Amino acid sequence: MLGHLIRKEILDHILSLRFLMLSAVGALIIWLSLFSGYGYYQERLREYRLAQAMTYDSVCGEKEAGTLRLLASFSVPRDRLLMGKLIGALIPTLTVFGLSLTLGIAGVFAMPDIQFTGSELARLGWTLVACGLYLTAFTCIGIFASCLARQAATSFVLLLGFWALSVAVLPSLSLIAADALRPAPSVHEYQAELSRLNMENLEKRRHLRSQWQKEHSRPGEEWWKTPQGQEAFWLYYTRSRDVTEESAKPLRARVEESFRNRYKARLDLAVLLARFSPAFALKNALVRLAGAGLDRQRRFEEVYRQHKERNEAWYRGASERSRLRQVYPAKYGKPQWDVSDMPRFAYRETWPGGDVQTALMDVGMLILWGALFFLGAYVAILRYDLR
Amino acid sequence: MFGRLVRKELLHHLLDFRFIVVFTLCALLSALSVYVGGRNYGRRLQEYGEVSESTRQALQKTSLSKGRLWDLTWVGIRWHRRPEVLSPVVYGLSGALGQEVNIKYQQPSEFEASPFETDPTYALFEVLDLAYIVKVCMSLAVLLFTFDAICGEKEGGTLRLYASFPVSRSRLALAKLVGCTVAIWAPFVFSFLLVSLALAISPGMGLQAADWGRMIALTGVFGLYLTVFAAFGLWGSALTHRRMTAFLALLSLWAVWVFVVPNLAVDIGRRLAPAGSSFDLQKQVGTMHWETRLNQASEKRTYYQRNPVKDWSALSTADRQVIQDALSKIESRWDAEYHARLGDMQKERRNRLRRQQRIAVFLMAISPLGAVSYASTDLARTGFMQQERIEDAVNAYLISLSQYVQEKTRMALGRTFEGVDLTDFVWFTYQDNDSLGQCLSRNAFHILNLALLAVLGFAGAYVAVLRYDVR
Repeated sequence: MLGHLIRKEILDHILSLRFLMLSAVGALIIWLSLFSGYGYYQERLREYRLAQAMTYDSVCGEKEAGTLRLLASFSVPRDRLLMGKLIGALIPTLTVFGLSLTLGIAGVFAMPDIQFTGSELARLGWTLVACGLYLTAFTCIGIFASCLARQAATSFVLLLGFWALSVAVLPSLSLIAADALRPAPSVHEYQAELSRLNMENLEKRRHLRSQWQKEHSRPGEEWWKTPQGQEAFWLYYTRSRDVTEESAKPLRARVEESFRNRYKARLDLAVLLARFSPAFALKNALVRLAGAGLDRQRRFEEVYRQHKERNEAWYRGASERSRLRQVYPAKYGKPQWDVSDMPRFAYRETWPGGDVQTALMDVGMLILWGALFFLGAYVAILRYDLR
Repeated sequence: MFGRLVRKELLHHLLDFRFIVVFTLCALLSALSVYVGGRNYGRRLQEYGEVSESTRQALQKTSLSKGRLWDLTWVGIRWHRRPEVLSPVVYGLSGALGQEVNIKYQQPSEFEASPFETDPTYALFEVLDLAYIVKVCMSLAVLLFTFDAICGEKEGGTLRLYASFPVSRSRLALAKLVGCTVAIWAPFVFSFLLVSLALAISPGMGLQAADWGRMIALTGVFGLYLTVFAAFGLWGSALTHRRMTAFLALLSLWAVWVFVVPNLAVDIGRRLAPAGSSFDLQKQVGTMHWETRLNQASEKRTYYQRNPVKDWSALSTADRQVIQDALSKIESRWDAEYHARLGDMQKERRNRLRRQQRIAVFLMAISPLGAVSYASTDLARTGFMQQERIEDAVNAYLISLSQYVQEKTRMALGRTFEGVDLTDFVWFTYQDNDSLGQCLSRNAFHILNLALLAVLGFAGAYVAVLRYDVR
C-alpha cells in the first residue's frame, strides 16, 4: 500500500504544471549559477524555496481540493500516508534538482581549465549530499506547514515566515549575541596598536642612528668621508635594526595572537549559534567543503607570513651586502644585486580532513532539522481534521 | 460606488491572516535590519573617527612637526573614508569597496581594507538591510497578496456576485487595482516609517536634511518597485482561472526577475564588453610607473654627467639652488607625464566598465530588480558613482601633493629628511556635493523603467479583467 501511495504522490507531482515550471526555473538557475559563478547561497535560496513550493500544499492542498478525505478512507495508517507524501515529494524534487546539478557539473568538467583531484571530487560528492539533505529538510518543513494549515495560502505564509527567520533573523541575532558575549577588537584597533609599536621601534632606531652619527661626526673624523666610516655606519645600522626588531617581535606577536584568538572566539560563537538556522548550516557546510571560507584564508595567511619572514630576512641580508659594496667596493666587491637565492613563494593547497568533519556537523544539523520537522508533521497529521 | 469597491478590496486584504503575518514579518525584519545596520554604522563611525584622528596625530608628530618631507614621499598619507549614513538602509557596495587609501607621491592610489576584507564575518553572515527585505521578502509577499485577487474570487464563487453589481467592468477592474495596490503599500510604508523613526532617534546617526530627502526618494523608488510586482500579480491573477496556476506562474516570474535576469544580464555584459581585471590595470600602472621612474633617473644621470658635482658641501647656496631647480624641472615633467598617463589608463578602464554596465542595464530593463538596485545604491551613496567621485578627488589631490613635494624639495635643496617647513601642508578632505536633484536625474532611466513596468502591468491587468470570464 505504501508503494501505491508513493506512486500516486510521484505521479501527482510530475504530471502537474507546477512541477514542470518549477523544474524548468530551477534547472535554469542551477546552470546559470554554475556557469557564471553565482554565489552558493543564492542558489540554495532558490532551490529550497522551490522545494517549499512543491510541498506547502501537500496536505492542506488536498484538503482544499477534497481528495484528502478520499485518500484517508483507504485502510492505511496516517503515518504511512505521511511517509507516502514525503517520499512522493522527495523523489521528484531530488531527481530534478540532482539531475540539473549533475548535468551542470558535467558541463563544468568539460571546460578546459577545470581539473579535480580525488579529494576535491570527494568534497563535491559531500556537497551534493548536503544539498540533498537540505532539500529533504525543507520538504519536511513544507509538509509540516501543510499539516498545520487548512489552506494552501496560509501554509505558504507560515513557510515564508520560517524562511525569513531562518535566513535573515537567526544569523543576524547570532552575530549580535556573539558580539555581546565575546567582543573582539576591530581590525583597525589591532592595526593601530601594531602601527604604534612599529612607530616606537622606528623612533628608537632613528634615535640610536642619529646618536651614532653625532658621535662619529667630529671634524676630521666624519664618518661619511671614508669608505671605512660608511662601512661602520651601515654595520651599526644593521645591528641596531636587528636588535630593536628582536625586542619588538615578542610584543607584536602578543598583539597578533590576542587579536586572532579573540576574533576566532567571536566567530566560532556566532557560527555555533547560527547553525540552528538550516540555511546557515548549509552555507557553512558548503563554504568549508569548497574551501571558500576563512579557514583556508587563515592557512594561506600563515604560509604567507612564514614566507614574508624568510623574504624579509633575505632582503635585509641582500640590501646590507649591496650597501656595503656601494660604500666600500675595495673590500666587498663591485655593487650588484643577486636575486638568484631569493626565496620564492609557493603555496600548495591542503585539504585537511578537519574541514570535512566540521562540515559534517552542519550536515548533521540539517538531518536534525529534517527529523524534527518530520516528527512535527507526523504529530500534526495524526491530529489533522480530514473533513 | 467606486469608493465602496476600493474599501471592500482594502478590507479584504487588511483583515486577511496573510496580511497580518506579512505585516508583522516586515515590521520585525525592518526593525532588525535598522538595529543591526545602525549598530554596524555606529561602530564603523567610531572606528573611523579614532583611526583618522590617530593617523593624523601620528603623521603630525613624527613627520610634519619635524619637517620630514621624506615621509610624505616614501610613507605617504593614509586617508579613511567615512561610512555612509544611509548604509543601514541600503548597504550596497559598502562591504566590498575599500575604506582606506594610502596617498603616496608618485604612486597610484588603491582603495583597500574593505569591511568584508577586514572582518570576513560579515561576508559569511551577510548584511541584512532594508533594501534586501524590500527587494526579496516584500516583493514575494506582494505576489502572495495579489496572486488570487481575481482567480481566487472566481474559485470562491464571489466574483460572479461582484460582477453582478450595477457597475461597469472597467470600474470593477480599477477598484481591484487601486485596492490591492494601496493594501500592499501599507506594510511597506509602515516598515519605512519604523526605519525612519529608528534612524531619527538613534544617537549616532545624525541624518541631515539632504539625507532625509534621499530617504523620501528611496521610499518612492522602493514603493514603485513593489507596485510593479502588485501590477504583475494582478495581471497574472486575471490571466488564469485557478489560483495554483497563477501562484506558480508568478513565483516563476519572481525567480526569473530577481535571480535570473540580473545575473544573466551582468554575465552577458561582461562577455560582450570585457573590461579586464583590476589586477591587469595595477600591472600596467606598475610598469608605467617604473618606466617613468627609470626615464626620470636616466635624465637626471645625464644632467649630472653634463654638470658633474665633485663635492656638494663645497658648493655655494646659489649653485646648489641652480642644480636643485634643474632636477625639480626634470621631476615635474616626468610627474606630469606619469599623472597624465595614469589618468588615461584609469579613464579607459572606467569607460570599459561603464560600457559593460550600460549593456547590463539595458538587458536588465525587463526586470525591476536591476533598476531598483542601481537607483537605491546611488540614492544611499553606496554605489559606483560615489566611489568614482572619491577616486577622482584622491587623484586630483595626488597631483597637488606631487607639486607640493617637488616645490618643498626644491626649496630644501634636496635635504628632505628633516627640518623642512611643512606648516602649510594641506590634508586631504572629501565632501560629497552631489545634490538629490542630480542623483534623481542620473537615475531617471531606472525610475522611468520601473514606472513603465508598473504601467504595463496595470494596463495588462486592466485589459485582462475587462475580458475575464467571471462565470
